Amino acid sequence: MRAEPVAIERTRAWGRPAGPTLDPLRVLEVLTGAFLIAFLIVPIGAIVVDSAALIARGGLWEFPDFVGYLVRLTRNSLVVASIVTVICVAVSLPLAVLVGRVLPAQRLLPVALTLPLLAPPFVYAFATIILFGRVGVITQLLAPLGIRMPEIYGLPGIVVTHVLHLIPLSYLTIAAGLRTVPKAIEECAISLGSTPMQVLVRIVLPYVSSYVYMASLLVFLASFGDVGAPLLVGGQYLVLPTEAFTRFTSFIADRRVPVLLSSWIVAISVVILVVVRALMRRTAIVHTFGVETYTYAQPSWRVVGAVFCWGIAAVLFVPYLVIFVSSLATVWGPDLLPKGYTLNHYQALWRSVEPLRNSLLVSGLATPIAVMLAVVIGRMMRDGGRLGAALDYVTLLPFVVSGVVVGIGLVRVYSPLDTLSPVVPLITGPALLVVAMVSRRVSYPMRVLAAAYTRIDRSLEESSLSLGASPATTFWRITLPQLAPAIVAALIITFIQIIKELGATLIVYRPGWVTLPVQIYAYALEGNLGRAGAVSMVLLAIVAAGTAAAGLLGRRTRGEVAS
Amino acid sequence: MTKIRLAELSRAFGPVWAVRGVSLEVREGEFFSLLGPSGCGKTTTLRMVAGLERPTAGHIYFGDDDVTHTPPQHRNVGLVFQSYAVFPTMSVADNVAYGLRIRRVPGAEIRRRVAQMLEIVGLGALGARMPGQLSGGQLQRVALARALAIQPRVLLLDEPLSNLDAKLRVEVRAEIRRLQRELEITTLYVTHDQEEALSMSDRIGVMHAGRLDQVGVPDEIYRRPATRFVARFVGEGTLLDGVLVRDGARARVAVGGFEVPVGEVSAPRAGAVWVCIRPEGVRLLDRTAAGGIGGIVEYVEFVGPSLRADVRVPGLPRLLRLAGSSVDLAGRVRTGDAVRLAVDPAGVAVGPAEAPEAEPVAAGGGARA
Repeated sequence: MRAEPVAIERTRAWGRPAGPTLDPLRVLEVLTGAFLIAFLIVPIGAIVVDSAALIARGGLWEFPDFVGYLVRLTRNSLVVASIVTVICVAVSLPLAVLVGRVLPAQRLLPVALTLPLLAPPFVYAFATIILFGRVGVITQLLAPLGIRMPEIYGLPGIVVTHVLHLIPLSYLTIAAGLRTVPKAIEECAISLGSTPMQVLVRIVLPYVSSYVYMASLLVFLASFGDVGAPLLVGGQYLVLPTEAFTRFTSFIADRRVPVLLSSWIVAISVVILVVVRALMRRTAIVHTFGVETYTYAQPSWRVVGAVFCWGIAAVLFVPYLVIFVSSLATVWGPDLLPKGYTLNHYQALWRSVEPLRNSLLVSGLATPIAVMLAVVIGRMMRDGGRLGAALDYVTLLPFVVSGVVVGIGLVRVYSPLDTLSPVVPLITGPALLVVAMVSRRVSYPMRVLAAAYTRIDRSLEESSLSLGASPATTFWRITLPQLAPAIVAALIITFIQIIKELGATLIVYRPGWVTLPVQIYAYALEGNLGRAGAVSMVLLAIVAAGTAAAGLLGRRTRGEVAS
Repeated sequence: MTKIRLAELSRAFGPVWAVRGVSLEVREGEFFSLLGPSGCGKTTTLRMVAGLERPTAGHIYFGDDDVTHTPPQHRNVGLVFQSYAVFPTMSVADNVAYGLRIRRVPGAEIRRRVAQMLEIVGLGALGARMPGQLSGGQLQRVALARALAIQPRVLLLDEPLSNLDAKLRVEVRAEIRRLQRELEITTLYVTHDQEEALSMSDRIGVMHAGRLDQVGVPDEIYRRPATRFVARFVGEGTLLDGVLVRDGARARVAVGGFEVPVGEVSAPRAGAVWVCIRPEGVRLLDRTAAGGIGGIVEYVEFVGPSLRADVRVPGLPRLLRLAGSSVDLAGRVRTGDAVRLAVDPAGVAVGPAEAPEAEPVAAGGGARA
């Protein structure tokens, strides 16, 4: 500061502009609340209420052995999800430790390991068929050796597909946890005489246990709620979401069954969510992010680690290769390689670009809506105390329960409107598809924005208020500019998630509104793997471009923060 | 110039009272500090004055206006945070201009005023810089300029120096005080640092467990602490419990088998008391001197200009702290030395014994700091 002060003349403080009569923030909050109630709480609530009424009337007991049927489905679903969870976590835990702590210099490894997240699970499902099916590549390869592959259609098929697809999810979650363990903790443990293995088991593992629970939760729920893979490779092994779907879409079936199954899925998912979250809260450690992490320099670990990690990465990459080859193959099987190659499948796509157009249109409309909702909800969650906590759970609901359930709920509530007037089908048709996508995926932008809100120093907003700005002005000029990078990231992530969505789409879409995932599913179902492969490649290209953009953006914003 | 008056101000967070019945008046143009340990409720009090926290009970007045329910954006207060809270997406000049733009001040006037404010805080050349390019000290000045630019009725500072290094802290503290005097702006300053409070303030309010223990000028707070807590929290010294004994005109506090002479002014009538012997109230006598108290030096601390020593005195439950110029004491006190001491009543504070101190309330102020 200067030694010679400049005197400030003492004038009267300027008057304030009159405050707005209607707080725009309040309006946004009300609209957001209305959306959540209309398209999330009411549809899922309706299913639950229907089911409760059904049970109260003793409604389904005329259905031969309904309880046995329900128990069988439930057991199947839980078995699939449990096996998948155990395998995924068992593989990802060493994977995350090795990548983060032993091989941190191999920058390509994390990228290679997260590749499968690009593809929707049903794309993985038909790769599984090509590889392990009755005339599959690996089946053929092993046959001369006298090894007979077990029948893939059924439990093994679903498990293989889910494991390949979900390893990256658990890997990413646990890796994020490992990054929160400060270097000093491991250095202290080593200096106190522990071996590296002891440090990992006794210090690091307990430190990240809440992340391991989180990984298990995400994998379990994703596997439990998935409808695409069991439909394609499940064979006679019936699980809850597929049964809800097939019974809902078949005209002869009793509609009360899928409704009851749906609420059963909701109940199980919510119970698991609540239990695991309680576990996570008990084990959570307050983290400081951006800490330096320790590196284990044992040469033997490095060798074993590299082999293990790259091996997994290679296995995870095989399905992509398979899909790519099949998209160029005339006929594939029963030989190791396709009989011939052709561009026909891609040329066929040019003749009907409708699914692509539909996918882009629906995603393009739903994404900004979902992100806008997330911006408003994120703010309410931060400021809202108990309401905020409730919102947290409400928006987790569609993330937790199968997309099929969200779809069934929406159709259950809004399709009766079809009969009201000739105009309304427009609302329940494509518009409902957009709404379903928003409801189903709103938790993704929400997580991104909730995290972004916590990084904003509250005193910035408080300073703005004390300087005379209204809450709305403060939000517009102070909060929003700081959220900007998160909003862009949320847009991309949400777009990717929506364009890949299958479960809810299968229920809600109307003729003429086939999307890319529905088209892939249809081709794969009729065994036209070449066409399915070609459409998958288009979808993958879109998703890959989005992911790359998000990655670049992430690096840039991190750079800004660092400087 | 506006005076701030708090009347029975209280704030509860759930079952916890962060602030309980605080009443005080900050006079026009006064620099008033709220001093206390973390969690004592001082930050919550300041946030209520700023309008960022709603009082559970009580009232806040700026001059004659009751602003208890006025939202923060209508209070016209200048607010400076420990974290600076400089808007990272705006340049330094835009930060300072922010409040003026909100007030729809004409552009030319904004430019003139921003330049003037930056000049005052010594950042005249840095208006175009982004906050990321500034040091902590500079950011704090931007925050100050931004708060003052709107010509606030009162200035509120929440631990503004805590993130600065020791040397800069002393420098900026003098600057804040100078600015405050020049602008004659009523200022409420929150700090846990007694040196800051003692050196800057016209008056200090010491807070403890949500309550205001004592309000007074710095000298008064230091020399005549009203409660045991204030005696312990402000300044150093040896705090003892004893019984006040009057012997004609002289008053003494009996602590164990030991007697501490106390000045007449601060002494209560009689009975159980606490007594605080400040280091400057303990004099080192020549080894050969008669009388005085004998003790053994347990610990010596050299801090540049001064020297502190803790002396074990037989019969006293605590070590007696002695301080003096390091030139005077050099060579006279070393660990293990036997020394003779005298206690000067002028350096002794005494007050009636209180009910055992309640546990400090875990309060919102601490959570935010």
